[in-house]
Amino acid sequence: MNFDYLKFIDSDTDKKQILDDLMMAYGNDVWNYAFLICRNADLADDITQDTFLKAYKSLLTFRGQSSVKTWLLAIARNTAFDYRKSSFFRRVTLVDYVTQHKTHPSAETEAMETIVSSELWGQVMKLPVKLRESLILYAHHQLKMKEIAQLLGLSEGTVKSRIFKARNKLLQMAEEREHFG
Amino acid sequence: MDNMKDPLLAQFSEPPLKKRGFTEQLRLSIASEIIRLQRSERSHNKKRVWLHVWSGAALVLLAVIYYSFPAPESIQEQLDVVSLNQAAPIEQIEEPIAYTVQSGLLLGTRYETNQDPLDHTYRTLWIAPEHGSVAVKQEGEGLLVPYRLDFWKLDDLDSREGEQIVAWQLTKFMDILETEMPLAVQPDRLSERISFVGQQYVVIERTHDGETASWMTTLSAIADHAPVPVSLTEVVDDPGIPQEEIYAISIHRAKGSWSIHAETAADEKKLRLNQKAVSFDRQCADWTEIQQLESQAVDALCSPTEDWIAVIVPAAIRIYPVDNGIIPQRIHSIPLHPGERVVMAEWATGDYVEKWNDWTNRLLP
Repeated sequence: MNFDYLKFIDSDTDKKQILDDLMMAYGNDVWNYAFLICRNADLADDITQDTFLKAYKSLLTFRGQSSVKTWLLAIARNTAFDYRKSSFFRRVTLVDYVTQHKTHPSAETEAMETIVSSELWGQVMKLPVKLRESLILYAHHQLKMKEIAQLLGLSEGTVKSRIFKARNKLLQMAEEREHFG
Repeated sequence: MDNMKDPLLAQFSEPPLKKRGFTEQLRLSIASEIIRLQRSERSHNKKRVWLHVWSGAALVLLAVIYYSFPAPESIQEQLDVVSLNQAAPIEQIEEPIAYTVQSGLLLGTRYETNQDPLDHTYRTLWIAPEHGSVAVKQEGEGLLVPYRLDFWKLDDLDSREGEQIVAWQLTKFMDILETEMPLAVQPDRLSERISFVGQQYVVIERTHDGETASWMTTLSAIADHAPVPVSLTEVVDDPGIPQEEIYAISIHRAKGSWSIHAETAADEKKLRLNQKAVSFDRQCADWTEIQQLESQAVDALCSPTEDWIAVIVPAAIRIYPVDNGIIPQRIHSIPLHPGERVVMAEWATGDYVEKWNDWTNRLLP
């Protein structure tokens, strides 16, 4: 779907129809990216909803300075990091004065292993977010280096370096799994 | 670096999850929200158009009046006449006090049912702007908790053994409304009550064989039937006590703010909850001023936009407007049950007032 016309819309344009088309075209991309940052499906739902609502409100300001996909992913990224700053991620500590309690392995790890589509994706989720982001924007979302650099606010050299490190880290993790099971 | 030639990177062309993440239900939820935004935009535009029309009409009317009737004496001329004649004093006209109410309060309370300390009732009141004042627009049983973009319900499940606190997420998607209380019951029943709800955090007090313990947990942990405690450092900035030294906590509310008391072997420390647990907990007036207004005041809740304040006395909530200070003209009073206390106070401002009007209309009664 071609969204070049977005540069020329005005207040009379049916923005809802545009949003429907954007969701059809990029809903999965936005959700997957949100999930890859926050690693929580419920939060990814919220971030995705917020992203498209923000996109709806700022449709008239889009002037083609990036591709539509990059624009949406940038909104998703900012939204996801706002959520992280508000400390959505909780840590649980067991204390003695509660008379009944259960011991849980990391709920996040347990859930992740059951929902990812491959072991490799499971390994990617363990990478630090800086490496994970760059790798996935390149390998999964198929953005160009220049687009990734623009989205992340980095130089192309730094992006390449992070992708290289992420790739090597994954290979290292694969070797360790082979040796130690 | 060529993605397609690298066999490792080529594996990432597949999506990350087994099941699709961006579901049809999520898409519908977003679409519904867009429709709501569109309606709000249209309504706002209509009001602007009407404002222009009425402004124009008012100007025309004033012009007609001005040119149709003789010009009135200036006020100065009137005063001069009066002072010269030294006649009846100038009549003082008391103008009604004008104020604007913009925010809403979702208030959760708890009281003992039938004066039984182990039997509690929770209710939620949505107190919001109506016709220039405030009113209880919706009321319902249980605690309706707003968290992020959603609403949760907290209530207690009664059985022969006692009460257990349960939580469930009401509106994951617009089209699915989970109104049924979950049925899970622990085999060893204990009596539980809620002392505090703020954002995602809940303080539960549990009583068993005469012993009471409190801890803070989260909505989702309760919903998962594993209400494990959270670390104090999540909800208190710099507690100054190592977690392992704390053997008991309790939550308190006094003079308009929450505090958490942490007991160690040597000491009890009073700590202030941070914004992760309490999004807004400031007063718009000194406690002395509040007590002068209502001598029996035990608590007060001030809106973040400082347009109204709810002062709590033993048998009622008394509401006053605020405009650079409390205006001592009560605009509403809500009766309370004996011993009823606040356990949750969540404010809505701006667009959220209208959103919460809609949601409480659906979720509370």
